[in-house]
Amino acid sequence: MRLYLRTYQFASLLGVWITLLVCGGSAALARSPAKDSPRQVGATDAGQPIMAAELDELTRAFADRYVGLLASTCDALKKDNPDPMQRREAQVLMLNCATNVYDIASNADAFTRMLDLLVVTTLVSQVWIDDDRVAEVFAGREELLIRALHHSRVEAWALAAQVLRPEQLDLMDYLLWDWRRHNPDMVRVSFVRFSNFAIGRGKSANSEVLAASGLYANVGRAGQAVAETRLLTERMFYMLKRMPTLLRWQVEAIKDDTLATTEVGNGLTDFHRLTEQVEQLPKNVAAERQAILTALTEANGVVTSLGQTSNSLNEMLKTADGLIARYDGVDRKLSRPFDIREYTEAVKELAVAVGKMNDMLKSSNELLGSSEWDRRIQQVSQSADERIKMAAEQSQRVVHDTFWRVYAALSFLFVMLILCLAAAFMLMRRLIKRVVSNTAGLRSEGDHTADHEAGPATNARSAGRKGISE
Amino acid sequence: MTHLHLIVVIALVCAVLVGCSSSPVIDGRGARDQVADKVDIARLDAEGDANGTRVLSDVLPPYEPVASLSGKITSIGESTTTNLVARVAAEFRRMYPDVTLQVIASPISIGPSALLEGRADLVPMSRPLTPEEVQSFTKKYGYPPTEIKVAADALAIYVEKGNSVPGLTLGQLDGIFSQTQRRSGSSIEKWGQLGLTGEWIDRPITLYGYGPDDGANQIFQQRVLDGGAFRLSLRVEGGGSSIVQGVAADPGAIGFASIFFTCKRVRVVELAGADGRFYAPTEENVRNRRYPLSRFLYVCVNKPPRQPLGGPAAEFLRFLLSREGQQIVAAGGNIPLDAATVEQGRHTLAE
Repeated sequence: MRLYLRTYQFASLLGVWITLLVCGGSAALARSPAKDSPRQVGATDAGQPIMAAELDELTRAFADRYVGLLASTCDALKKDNPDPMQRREAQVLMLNCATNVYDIASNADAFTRMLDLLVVTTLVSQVWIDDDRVAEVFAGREELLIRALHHSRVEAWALAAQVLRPEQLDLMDYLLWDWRRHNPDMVRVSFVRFSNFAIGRGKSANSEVLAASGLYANVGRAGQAVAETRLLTERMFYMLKRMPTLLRWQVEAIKDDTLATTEVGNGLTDFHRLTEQVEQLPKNVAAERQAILTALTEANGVVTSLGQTSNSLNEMLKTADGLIARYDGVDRKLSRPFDIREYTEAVKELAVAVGKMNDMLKSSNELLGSSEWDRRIQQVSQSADERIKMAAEQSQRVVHDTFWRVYAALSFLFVMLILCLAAAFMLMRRLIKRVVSNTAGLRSEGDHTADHEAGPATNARSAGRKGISE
Repeated sequence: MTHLHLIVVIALVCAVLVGCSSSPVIDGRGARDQVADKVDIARLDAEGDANGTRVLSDVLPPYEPVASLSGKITSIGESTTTNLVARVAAEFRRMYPDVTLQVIASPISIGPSALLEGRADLVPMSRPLTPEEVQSFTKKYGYPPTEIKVAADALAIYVEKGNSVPGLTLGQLDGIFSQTQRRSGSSIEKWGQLGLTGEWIDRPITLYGYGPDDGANQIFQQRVLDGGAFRLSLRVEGGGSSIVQGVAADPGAIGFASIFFTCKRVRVVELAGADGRFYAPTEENVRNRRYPLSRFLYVCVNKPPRQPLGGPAAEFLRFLLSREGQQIVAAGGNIPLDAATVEQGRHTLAE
């Protein structure tokens, strides 16, 4: 209901606009005196009229400039950009705008074409600049796009100013702004046309004026049919000439879409992670070697410390022997009398200590010379070898799996590319055949028009319609 | 088959019930209620709130429709106010389908002459009539034209969102926009002159605004430039949104346009009021006229003194100056009038 009411209000504004349009800018059309005189579609501020043929050229040239500027801007946005989402957005923006602007530019009615170009360029610039979508999507790279879109909008309005009066432009500006206010979430606006604003408006205001003025009244139905077919043919050739570019961009968009999907993104993340692991492999092996060397060094340290203990024990034994010798060589006259109990106790203590030390030395020597020590060393060595081998195997597996996935993805993309190109080629061939046959049919029927005007005209129109429907 | 019949019967019963519940009430309710249904007050309230403009629906008088109305209304006037009139006209047509309402936008100078020549019943204006326009009308009719305020508005000063200029005085604005500098006496051409530092010091100021035929241009020239001349470097755009986008796309830019056109990539600068304090163009500051570039939108009519305005044009204005009319004003993004101004307008129409 709300939508209906808004649409109703909008339609009312549009009615005002169309009234202006009919009364003002395109009024000259209704007053066109002769069929061969150039059609005047508006007046500039300086009062200089602009002819339909001129507007024809201007709008098509603008369309090509707009697409060219946007394409170079989006290419710049994509260049060296590591973010797949940004690359995809840039590609989609370029593709959508180019497709729709070419579609508009191939419209037969120059006036409608100009209005549609004005609508698309304005709405696209409002979405990206005014609503600051450019900062959300292309953070840090927004300047290029802002400059391109604003420049295009200014150019489109300058073009419109050659046809519309200032108050018409002001009202159009308000109309578009109001539409944007009521559709704030719509970001793909290049599909919007001026005719979308109208309810039940089958033809452009310009066409209505043309029909009402009776401009074609003396041309005859056959002539009208031929003109319609000629326009259709022109439109087809216009689109066909630009189709390869659009097709190439479409394929690029598919590629960017594929790369930006979550699954492929995860795969790429895995790929990056595994690649990093492969790169880390030599470092890991070096670390393993370093660990083994450290372990061996520590083992050597134990042996060395055992040797040192042995030496210190030997020293102790020497000391003990010295002590005993001292007791043996003591001057009994200068000291207290020899006590056999002290000597016995000392000898006993030293004997125990020496025995312990000898046992320790013995066990150490046994350990170093034993097969158990060799076995442990072998275990350490074997473990290190296994770890190195395992790391190498894992790395190889990672590399194999990753490259297999990459090959599969590339194969899939190539197959898709070939299918797309084949389909496009077939479509183009079919379209060209139809256009050529229709044009040839019209020419042959046009020869009979002088004698049988109504019949061939009907056939030509039906042929043209067939072309459209197909 | 039996199930099918059952489903069809249930569907029919439901349809009848729904149809009965939603059929128009034609009993004791008056025309006012039915019109209120058509105007959809709740929707307009919601839209007004959604647009951040609280409508004074509790204090404004509700519209009381007449039993039947027919005739033709022609509105010729400036585009900003014509946009508003066209929105209200859409609802008015729904209430009174027998009224033909023709709304035409024109340059601002065309409206007063159309009123003078009797070609227009309503003349939407975005500024008051000039003394010359009033004089011409008075010379022909013996009384001045009647100006009815229908909405409030503010000329906002926009800069790019990264611009940190805190607030501006009218004197500074004159130094920025004027080549004659009648108010300030000094020229301001770089952002550093306004206190900005760093990369902004030497950044030149780019100007955006309306053309000389627009009411906003004339108001700005009168109130800020003191009647002086705009700099030749002023970039004239075709409409308010074009001005605002020009500012949004240029970090060094400053422009003036209706507050209606504000967007995310620009910042609205506060202006110093008569008391020296800075005010943003909020609804409140516009209503109480603290914001120095507040303005009214008008509809001018040809009404002899001491004779109430009659016909469909008067009814249209009564609707516009009602609760429902002002709700449409708010829903469209404009600032509705306060109760006193509405009452003043209604009184002017009736006296």
